Amino acid sequence: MLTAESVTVKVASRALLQDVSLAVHPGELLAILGENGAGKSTLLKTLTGDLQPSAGTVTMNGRRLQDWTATQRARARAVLAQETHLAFAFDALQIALLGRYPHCDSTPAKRDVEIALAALALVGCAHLQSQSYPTLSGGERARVQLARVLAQVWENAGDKPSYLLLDEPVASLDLAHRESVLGIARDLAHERGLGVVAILHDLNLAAVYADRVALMKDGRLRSTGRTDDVLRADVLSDCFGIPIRSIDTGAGGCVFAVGSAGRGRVHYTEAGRIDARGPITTARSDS
Amino acid sequence: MTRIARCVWISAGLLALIGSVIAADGQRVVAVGGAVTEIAFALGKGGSVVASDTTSTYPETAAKMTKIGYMRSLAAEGVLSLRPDLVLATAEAGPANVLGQLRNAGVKVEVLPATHTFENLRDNVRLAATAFNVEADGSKLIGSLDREWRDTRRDVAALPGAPRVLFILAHAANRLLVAGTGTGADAMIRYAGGVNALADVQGYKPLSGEALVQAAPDVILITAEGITALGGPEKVWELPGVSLTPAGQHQRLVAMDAQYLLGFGPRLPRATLELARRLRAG
Amino acid sequence: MSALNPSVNGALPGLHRIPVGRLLLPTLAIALLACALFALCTGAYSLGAKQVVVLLLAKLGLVQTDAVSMQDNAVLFSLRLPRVVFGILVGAGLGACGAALQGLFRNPLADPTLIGVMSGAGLAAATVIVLGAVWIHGLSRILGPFTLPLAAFLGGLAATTLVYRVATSEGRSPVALMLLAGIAVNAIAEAGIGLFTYLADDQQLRNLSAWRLGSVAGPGWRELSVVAPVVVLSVAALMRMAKPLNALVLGEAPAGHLGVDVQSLKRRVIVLTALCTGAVTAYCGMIFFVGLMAPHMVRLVCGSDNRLVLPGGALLGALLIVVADTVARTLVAPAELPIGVLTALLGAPFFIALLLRNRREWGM
Repeated sequence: MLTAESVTVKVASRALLQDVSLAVHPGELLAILGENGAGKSTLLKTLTGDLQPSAGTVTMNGRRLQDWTATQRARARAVLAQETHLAFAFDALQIALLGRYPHCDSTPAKRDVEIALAALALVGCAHLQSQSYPTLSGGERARVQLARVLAQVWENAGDKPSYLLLDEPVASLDLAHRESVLGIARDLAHERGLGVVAILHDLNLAAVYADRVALMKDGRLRSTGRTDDVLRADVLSDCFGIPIRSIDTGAGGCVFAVGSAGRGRVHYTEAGRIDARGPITTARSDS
Repeated sequence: MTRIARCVWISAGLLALIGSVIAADGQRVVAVGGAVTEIAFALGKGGSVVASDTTSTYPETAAKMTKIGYMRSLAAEGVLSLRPDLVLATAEAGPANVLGQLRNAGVKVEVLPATHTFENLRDNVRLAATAFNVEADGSKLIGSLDREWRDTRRDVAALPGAPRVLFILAHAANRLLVAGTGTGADAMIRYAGGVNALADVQGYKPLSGEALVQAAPDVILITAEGITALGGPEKVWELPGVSLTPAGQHQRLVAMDAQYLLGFGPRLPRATLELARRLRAG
Repeated sequence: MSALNPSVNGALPGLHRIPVGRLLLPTLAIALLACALFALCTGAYSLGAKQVVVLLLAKLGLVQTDAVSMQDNAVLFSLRLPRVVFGILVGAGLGACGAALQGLFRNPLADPTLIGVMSGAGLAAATVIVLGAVWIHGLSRILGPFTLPLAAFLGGLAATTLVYRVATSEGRSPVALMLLAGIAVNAIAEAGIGLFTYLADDQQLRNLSAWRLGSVAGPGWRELSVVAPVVVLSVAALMRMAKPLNALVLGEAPAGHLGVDVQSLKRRVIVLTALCTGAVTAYCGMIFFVGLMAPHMVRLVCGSDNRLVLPGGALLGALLIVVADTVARTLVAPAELPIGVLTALLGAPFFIALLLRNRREWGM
């Protein structure tokens, strides 16, 4: 389990996080939601060990994070940032192989290459392996980066669970790629017992893919729990400070829309199509 | 090939052969520095000199011989490739470690001091004569230089007035320096009975138009190479401030060959007298 | 889901570059050796391959020969050999430092000039050349010919330390801040050099400009015994940074998440580069462009993997300097061209051609 206990983060006497307690369980996808400045990224950075909490502790698999060496941490958890700009042209396989960095010596072993290739195949980018990263499209880049972090936590370190932390992993992606990236992450959580945390902005994506949701506001954890329990129109409206209502799609799903129905001004969030929650195993390639 | 051309080739070949025989017969000397080369030739040892540097422009034979580059950026292997017994160099030659490398390779390196005085010239002639093993010729040359110098001093003293002179060093049109005290130009101006218009400046300094007007020179002194770099004598008057000086108003410009004027070689007495006369001419 | 099982069919793909990479380093090493031998047999002084071989064998005690002239011996062992060895050290040092700094700053334009090493060394050298006789006379009497190189090395280290200090707060040093600090320190150093250029007399001015043009002719064995260990050790240490520098291509935070201690990596690369470039610059003056060019040429041939770029850059840098120096000392023999001019003259057009041909694939 990756746990934050009563974590407070202060920068120049301003509290970015206030007494946050959160646990990421192996085998689940936990979505962190909240408006800008709510402390989502700060919380994620605390969970990765990038930020030292002013108070409280973060533990991974029962051991305090500051007691881990950088390499030990890297073997147990991978982090994917929004967008990665490369200084030099590496090809896709080389990028994926970087995920094996904490596991291998200066030269990757055959096993590492196999894992990197399998990770690329999993995200549907096997055919891009020898393509130069700067020549890839935005969606391809995002999936190659996903392959990299997947390669990093491909095998659990010993018998302990591994974690995947995603900071707005789909922010720059189109609809289809959002679905595929989150689908892969969720499947990995369910099938491999990986603990996945993702900062998301799209309520509907969270509703479909997250097992649990943590809702943040003003540096505090507003509510946390199973997706269906937390993602309720009234709670969301309160948290985001704008009217949000849920529209039943009939087949057991619902979509969240911004705006009050009474005034007739309905602004739909980006995800217009939400089906029943089935596993999305598609990993289609860009054209 | 025409007969004439063939004759030229054959005689050139013969000359080269004779030259190499002469050189092989005696010492093989590399002369570094214009004054040093002039002294070697004045001592009658020009035939032993197998190569010189780019500042050695006089006499003509020296100007046309194999060049080892600029005297301050010598290359050890280049000098050694000429297989010299003696490297006769001015103190301005360098880099220092190259001279050391030459000594390590078993070449005798004789360094002649380079200060801007007639006495330094006498000393250098003596040192060079010793290096060439022609002490007697050295004494004779010094004797004649002494006589020439005495006459020059007397003639200069007899000339009227003490013109204020400004020396401009122009390597390129956009890089102009003027000579203060402690420079060769300053020494020459004083030997010629003139006054350095920038006597309160030390060394070569960049030219400022205002300072130039303040210096108020009667004559501008420049090297022939400087005139070329500027692009003609008329360009001198276009330099900032020059037209506002007495020299500019009367268009008084003296240009002399750099090596002749500033070389401090055996032509020093002649150069001094010529400079003294020309500073006062017109 | 079958895709979750790492089973790979057929040969390992994606390794199409490995043959090029595998061949690159041996090819460069052999080419360097060949060029070094050629350089030993070439020069203004007529000393051909046969004599060189005889002299080398005699030196090793393998052959008895009585017909060894003192000058032949001196030309080979105190002029050409130290020169070729120093050329290799200079080129390898600059190439490796360039590659490491480009990786560290994640900037393809980074080279040892960027973090102030060269201009710091230049300012210190100018100080010694112009004020040396007056101010630090006692010191130069003790240190002798080592005054200039030592000063250049200290100046380079001081400038780099200043850049690093200015750009580091709370244990972090953002690259943009560091580049700006480097520009500022370079400006200060250039201004200082300008001031000394003004103060210098004719002789000093010429020494100064000779130093700034660069040459590998200077050092003898005594100086090499100082430079060689510094360069060899720092280049060897830089080679070990290839793996973390590869991770750094993703950025500082992602590299940190892969287990790289980014701050420590920065510190190590900067100190090693200052050490290596300072030591080299001290004796050879300013040789620009090799540190920038050599690593890029390797990248264009076999990609950006630092495990190839670092050693390849070092070997290619050495090759470039040895070739450039051989040309420099034979083209206008018995005089010599400044090598700094030649590295730019030989390298720049080739570099431009490579850029034009590869700009699209290179993605920049």
